Amino acid sequence: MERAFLLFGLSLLVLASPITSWWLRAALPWYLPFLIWLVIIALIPWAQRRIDN
Amino acid sequence: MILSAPGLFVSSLLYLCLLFLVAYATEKRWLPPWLPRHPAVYVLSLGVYATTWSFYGSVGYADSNGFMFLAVYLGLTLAFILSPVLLSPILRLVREYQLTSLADLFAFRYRSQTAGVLVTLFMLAGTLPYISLQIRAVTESASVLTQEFAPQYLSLGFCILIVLFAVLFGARHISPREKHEGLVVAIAFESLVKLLALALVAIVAMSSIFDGVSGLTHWLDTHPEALEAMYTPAREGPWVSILILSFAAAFLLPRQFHMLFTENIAPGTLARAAWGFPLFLLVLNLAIPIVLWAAIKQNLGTVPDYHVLGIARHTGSAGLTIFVFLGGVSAASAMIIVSTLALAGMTVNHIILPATGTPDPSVNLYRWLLWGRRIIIAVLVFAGYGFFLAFERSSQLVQLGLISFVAVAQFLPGIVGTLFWPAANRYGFIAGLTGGGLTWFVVLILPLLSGGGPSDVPAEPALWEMAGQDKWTFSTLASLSVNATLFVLLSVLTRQSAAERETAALCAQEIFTPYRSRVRLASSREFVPALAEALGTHTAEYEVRRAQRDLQMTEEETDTRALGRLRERIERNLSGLLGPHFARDVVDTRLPTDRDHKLPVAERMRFMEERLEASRSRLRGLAAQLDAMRRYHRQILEDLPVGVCSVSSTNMVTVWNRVMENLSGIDKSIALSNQVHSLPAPWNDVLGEFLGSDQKEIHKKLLHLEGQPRWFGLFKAELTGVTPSPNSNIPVESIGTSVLLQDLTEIHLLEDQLAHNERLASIGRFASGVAHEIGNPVTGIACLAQNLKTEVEDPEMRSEIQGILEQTNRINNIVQTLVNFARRGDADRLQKTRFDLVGCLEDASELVRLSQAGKVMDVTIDCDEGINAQGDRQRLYQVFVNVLNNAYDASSPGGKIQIRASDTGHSIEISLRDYGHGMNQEISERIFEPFMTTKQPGEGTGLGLALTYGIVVDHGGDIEVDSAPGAGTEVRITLPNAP
Repeated sequence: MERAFLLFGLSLLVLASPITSWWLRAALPWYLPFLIWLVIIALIPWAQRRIDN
Repeated sequence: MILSAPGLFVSSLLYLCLLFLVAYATEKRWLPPWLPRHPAVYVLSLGVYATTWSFYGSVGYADSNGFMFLAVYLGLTLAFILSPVLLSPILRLVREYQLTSLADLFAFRYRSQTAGVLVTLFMLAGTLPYISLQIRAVTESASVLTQEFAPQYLSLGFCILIVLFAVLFGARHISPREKHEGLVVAIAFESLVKLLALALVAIVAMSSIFDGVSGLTHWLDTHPEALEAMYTPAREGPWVSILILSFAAAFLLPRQFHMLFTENIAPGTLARAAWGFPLFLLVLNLAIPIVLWAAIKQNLGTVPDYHVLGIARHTGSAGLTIFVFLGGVSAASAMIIVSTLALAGMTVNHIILPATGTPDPSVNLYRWLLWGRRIIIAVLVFAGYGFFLAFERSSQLVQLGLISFVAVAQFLPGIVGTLFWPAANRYGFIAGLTGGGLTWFVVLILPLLSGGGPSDVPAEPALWEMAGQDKWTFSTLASLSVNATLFVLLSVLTRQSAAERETAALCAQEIFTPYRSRVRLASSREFVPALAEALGTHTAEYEVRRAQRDLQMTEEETDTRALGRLRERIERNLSGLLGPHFARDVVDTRLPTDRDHKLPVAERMRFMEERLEASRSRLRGLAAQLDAMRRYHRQILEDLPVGVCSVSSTNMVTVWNRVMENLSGIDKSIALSNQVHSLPAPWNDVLGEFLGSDQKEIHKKLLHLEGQPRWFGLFKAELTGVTPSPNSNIPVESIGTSVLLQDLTEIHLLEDQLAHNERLASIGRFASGVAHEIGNPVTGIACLAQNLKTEVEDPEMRSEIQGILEQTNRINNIVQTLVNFARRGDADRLQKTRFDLVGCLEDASELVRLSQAGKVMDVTIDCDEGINAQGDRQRLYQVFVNVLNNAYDASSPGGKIQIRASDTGHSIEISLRDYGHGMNQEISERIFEPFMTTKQPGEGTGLGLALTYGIVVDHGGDIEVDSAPGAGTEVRITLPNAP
């Protein structure tokens, strides 16, 4: 199974679901979208490797 | 601060000259050769994604749509997350099948020239507005800085320079095999300039306008509406639609496809780019909200799209302002150069060539294609310029960019079909793309054409308003829905051709296609005239030679499998030149195959194995496990301690293991590309005769390899196919023969040695018996003769009796020698002591001197002091006497004899050297054999050196003879050192 699919699903959950409306709120720091983006980028090297059964 | 238009033009000119220099220095290898291959350069070259839309337009988009601008980059990040399953397979296809563009990929996958034409036309339609956007951004940015309408020569001059650069550095090589390293480094350099320019503006804004991060935080606390204006539109806007569009644009935009796949110099860099490129975009975009808020705080009054320039100008620094302007020029030029390059290749291969066909064979095809691409680059840039003039007063930059994004999103279903759905077919693809394209045209382009600009309100309510949706959500969902529905429906309702089914499986990595057909031509020499009819002699010769070089094939090749591989390589190389459809057409008609012919099973298996070796990292699940099992069995075959080779029913070598390589000295790669009769001698004859004979094995086959005799054992077994069922009456088909080769040289030599030893032992036993039987009567004769001597007074009689005694004494000596020889090999009889070796050598020398008193020799003894040997002194004394006697016999009176002894630590080396008549090689090799002598009959028994050899060997030592006729003889004795 590909880790890439896992991260893709997780990223969709954060970026394209009702959760998105939650973090797109003014009460949160202005740099939060960038922080979320950075966390996803940080996980990409991990997702490049395949999960071997 | 107001800058002059000529000043900006000169700055742009100088900057583009610098860009020329960077590209030129890379091409000329003035820069380090690793630079174009470095992952950082690859990541920066992908920065061509960030056009003036990102550089200028993002601030404007953030002003009207808040954090929505981030969705344009987050969608791209999602695509790069899927790099192992989405981008890597495309890169593999592009590299393996020499595809240069998305149109090539679809024409290859769907086996349709129409698909290539449609994709190219759609790409052209979608990209021209985008090119015009770049020209407009450069012109408007100049207007912002000069505070007046920018002169026409600025945008026109910019276009001319771009055409020059693209022609010189982007259309240098005609084939994609030769990457444009200069172009890659120059585009990476432009991305660096963009990044630095935006970062500088953000830093300046942060420090001089907000007084640092705390100042910005404080300002946001006191102006919550600014933050609200960033979040609210993003929550309520077409966030998901923009994500989908940018997901598709990440790798389907012509410029992205070109830099990601076509100009990819090192495939391994894609894994680094998967995180490196999104990180680059994140840093680039961090500047956007800061610049926007700084502009709002300062109330700059510039158009939001150009707040970046406004902030730079606000600092009063002309240097910074020009640098930011050049950042915009970088963004625009990189996009136009790469996009037109990609589109030019697609246009030549999928519009011009199908319309005109290949030029007359007398015309140089390479030059024709190269100039075709160059002219189209110029046409495209100036078409973009024309588009810019026609729609000069349209509003936001981002709007035009998003129109292009919706256009390329129409290729998403086709890509899904290519990589994941082998049942998708050309009818579905063409219908889907046509439907999606028409929807795109009606929803987005018609209002643009009729209204004069994308933001102008049309007279009637727009379609998306009637649907109650925003423009981008409606256009994305409507076009993609129509596209995907038609794609699926037509693919399900219509059937694929056999050829399409094959490429579909290839693209989805389901099968490896073997060379199924035999090329009708008999030799590779016939390829050039056959291809010359379509391509011209020059091109045909070059392409055939290049394919032969790629495959490391000889100029004259007649093997059918090799010809099949050559044909396939030529098709792939031509695909990079003419596009996959045209290449296939040329090869199919000029290098026809015999479709009725089936390749033997063994050759098909061999081919499959080669492909599996190259692709095993992509195998998953059960396939990966089966491949592991295959590799395990293959390894067993490779590591067997006997040579294994297998040949197909057409005598092609299909297996050649490591031991076989060592024994034959024929490299595996050479063996596997040849038939048995084409192998280097003597293996062609040996294996050929053995395979052709009825013999199942040859026990000892003598071969002379490199002048040395070698003995081999050969065994063979016929390979038969699997029967359909155990009770089937269908005859079993032979699929080849396996041959085992065993090196028996050592065994043969050991057998020889054993037989020799047995012979010696027999001689010993015989000698012992003879000595015993002769000894007793001779002793009796000697006693009787002695008695008779005492009784006889007559001097004459006494003299004769003395003669009898001497002869019996001689017989006794011979008998004693025979007895001693018979006892050799019995090391237990040795009486080993530690003794002075030098003394022993001196005694032996003295004895020989006395026994050969008539012959005065110059004997020198040169030994290390105090050497002690461990052994039977008496027997070794005999050894030295024997050797020295021979030295005396071989030398002339007064000759020189040297005796040397040295202690090497673990052994004692003794050399006895004379300068006599010496021996030839034949005698030297037999000198230790019993009864071997060169002396006259009666002068020697031929047992002396055989005995000497036996004694030395019994001591665990070794004896060697080095002799040449006329040069004398050296006998070297090595004895193990005393512990």
